[in-house]
Amino acid sequence: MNENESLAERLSRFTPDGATIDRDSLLFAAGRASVRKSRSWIALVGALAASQLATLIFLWPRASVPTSPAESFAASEPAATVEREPVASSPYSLLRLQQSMFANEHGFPQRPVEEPLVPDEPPLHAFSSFPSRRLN
Amino acid sequence: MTPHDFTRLLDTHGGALVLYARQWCDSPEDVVQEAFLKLVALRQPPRQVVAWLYRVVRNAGIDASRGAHRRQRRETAAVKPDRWFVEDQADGLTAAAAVAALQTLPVDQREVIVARLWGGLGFEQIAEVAGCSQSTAFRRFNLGIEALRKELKLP
Repeated sequence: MNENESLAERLSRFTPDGATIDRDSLLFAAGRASVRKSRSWIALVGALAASQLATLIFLWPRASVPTSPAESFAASEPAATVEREPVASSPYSLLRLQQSMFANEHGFPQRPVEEPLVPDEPPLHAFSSFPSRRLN
Repeated sequence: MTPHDFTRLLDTHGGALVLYARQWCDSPEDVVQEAFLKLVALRQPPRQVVAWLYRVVRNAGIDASRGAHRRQRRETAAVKPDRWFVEDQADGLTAAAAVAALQTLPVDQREVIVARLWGGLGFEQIAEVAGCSQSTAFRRFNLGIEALRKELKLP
């Protein structure tokens, strides 16, 4: 047993040759392998894209385009039955004039008396006239 | 594991791991490199890093020996001579004689001797790496040393 121990000790004095390992390339590869591959940004981008798509779907302007003239007439017919509030318009609007002309047998309605467009008195100014003593 | 720890581990055990992997395959450097890269990729380093490396190298070495490129590797290895040890001679023993004697051993004895003498593993760790009991590892070691003594014609 003692000879075995001495042989083991003698053998252990040999140094294993590790020069065959490419140390630099191994350290480089280890540096690359040590980087954790984060996939959180992929989930974040997916969530953002989904939210954008949902927003686009919900907020897309829905213009109903009629497919045929018959359908468009049928679709517009109920709207004609709805009584609307008369639009306040000018007394000289074309519609008003036509209505009053057909309503009145004597012809066109009389023009309502209104205030004159040009005021009688001259407008007021802060310095309407230069003081005469300054002129002197 | 810090880069400093990794470098120290590579410098301390790289050569012994190459020698250990050489017991099964003809491309031990690739096997050792893969083992170190696996170690770096781990989120949590193993409790016994050295023993873990030996186990990974052992499994990868056995797999590599079964690979399809075995013949090609052998042809490549035949071109460049394998150098197992740095010294040509130590304590009256020549490296060539030691290598020749080691190559005569069965692989189960040889791996225990390499792991014990140059890897510095205890028999408990060797048993865990080799997948045998501690007493079996101890017995293989003694049988191997005895065979080496006879092969080297030492008293």
